[in-house]
Amino acid sequence: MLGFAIRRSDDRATAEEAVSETFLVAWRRLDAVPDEPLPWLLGVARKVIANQRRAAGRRTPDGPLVPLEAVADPAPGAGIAELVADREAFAEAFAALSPADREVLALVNWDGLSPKEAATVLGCTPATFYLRLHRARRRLLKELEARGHSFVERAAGPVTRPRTDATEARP
Amino acid sequence: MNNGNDDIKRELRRLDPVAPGELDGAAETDAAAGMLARIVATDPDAAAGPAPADQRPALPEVDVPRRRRRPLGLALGAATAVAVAVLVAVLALSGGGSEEDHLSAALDAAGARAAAAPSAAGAKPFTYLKTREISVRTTDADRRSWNVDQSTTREEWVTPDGSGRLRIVAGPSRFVGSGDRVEWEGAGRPQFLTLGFGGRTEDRWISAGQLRGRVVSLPTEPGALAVRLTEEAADEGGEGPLAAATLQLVAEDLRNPVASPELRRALYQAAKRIPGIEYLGEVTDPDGRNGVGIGVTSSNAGYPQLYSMIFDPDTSQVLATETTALPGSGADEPAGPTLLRATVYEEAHGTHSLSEKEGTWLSGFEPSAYRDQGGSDYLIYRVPDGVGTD
Repeated sequence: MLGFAIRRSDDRATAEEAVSETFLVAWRRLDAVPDEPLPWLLGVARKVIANQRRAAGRRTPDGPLVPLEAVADPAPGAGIAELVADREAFAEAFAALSPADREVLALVNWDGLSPKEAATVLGCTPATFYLRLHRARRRLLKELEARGHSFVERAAGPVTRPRTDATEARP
Repeated sequence: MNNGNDDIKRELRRLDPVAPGELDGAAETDAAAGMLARIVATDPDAAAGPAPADQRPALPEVDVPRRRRRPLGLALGAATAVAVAVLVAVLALSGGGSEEDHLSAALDAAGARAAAAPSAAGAKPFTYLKTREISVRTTDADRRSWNVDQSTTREEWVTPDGSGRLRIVAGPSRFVGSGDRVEWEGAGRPQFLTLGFGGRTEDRWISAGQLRGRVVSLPTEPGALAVRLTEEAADEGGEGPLAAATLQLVAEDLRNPVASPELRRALYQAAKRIPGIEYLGEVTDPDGRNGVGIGVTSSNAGYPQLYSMIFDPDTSQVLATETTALPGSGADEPAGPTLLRATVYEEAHGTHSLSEKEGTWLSGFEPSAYRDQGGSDYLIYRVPDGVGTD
């Protein structure tokens, strides 16, 4: 919960405040808390944080700041200069996404939620979340390509294709 | 860095402002315990009554036992602040409003734009609408299966009485992906079915009232309009869910060149009332145009399908409608959604001629007036000698 709030707040104190408020809401609405509480709680936290931002009159920032520690963390065998450039480009590409796309990617990759749980947080259906996740990944790839990087999505394995016209079956 | 999805996930996680292990043990700190103690010391029934509406998650309420103490993962301990500074607002998520808020805001804005825009038909005597229909067809043979994307361009020239000319050109087919070609070749390269594949052109005259004349009789009060559209969708009795059919009518009416600004605004408002309608965010249509999507999902077909409408929020113009097959909700790594069908709206405007767009192909084609023995007036579309479909 705190990690979720930190990722979406201006500072640690505000994040802690949001967590406290979220649990207070849950306490007042115990009958509404489902058996699997985490997605529900994160959904409440998301609204609490939005209220905090509105109350503080804060504007939505344009994008993330890149942690120098992350950029400069070399991997064995990799050239530092190249690695730093790659990671800067990746962070820039991520920052160039819409807030909605960043949220979809963060829920899965940072908050560690399953698509079903993430859908609950956003208040949409799992099917819709899948679609958003796919599109967010695609747009991230486009941003990376625009910066000259060659991340490629894993080739799709065999899939069961939905049949659209049964009359087309042939012997 | 080209190892695909794993690389992307790794790099995304590297951007996480919360470092791995940073919050370990935070839930067991004195600060966390103190906060929890303060919360449970309040009377949940008397403390503040129901939570403010904007703090209620848009979730179905589920009955649960009055209280089971759960480890709530309260995490308020010490941790390095490096990541906090990083992220300050990595997300700062568009105000964090609910899905309903996004849906309502998007449709309100589009409706306002629609109300301020003049009718697309203008003062011209005829209207012209060009759409491209995309259909992905699956063929099975010899235990193999492949998808072919079939495109058809449809043009309508409509007169004030709703009659008009309809021209349909079937475009070339193509395999959806390289894997589809492999499957087809593995099956021995069987011939495609003739219908709908390859070049084909139809050109015919449609009698009065058949082409999009209905919008002039639609109410412009959103509630009444929503009811009317739902009834019409039900009358059509298509295979898909009623909500999807209603959304399709909304899209078609929005793109009708003779739809008034008042009606177009009402259509965006009526779309809010479609059961299960969801905000899909920024999307791209099959022509690569950016827009905003709304849609409904259904599993009527045996697997999840999304029926969506994409519109340009800046102009209020509908760009496309799509039907997309979605993966099931069980796997963490879904295969990509598969576009099954789409209607791409390419042009909609007034025109002075029923052959204006076609240049020489229909040079000299104009309808002539005809009155039958019963006194009804018709426009007759005469095909000159020597001209046929290609």
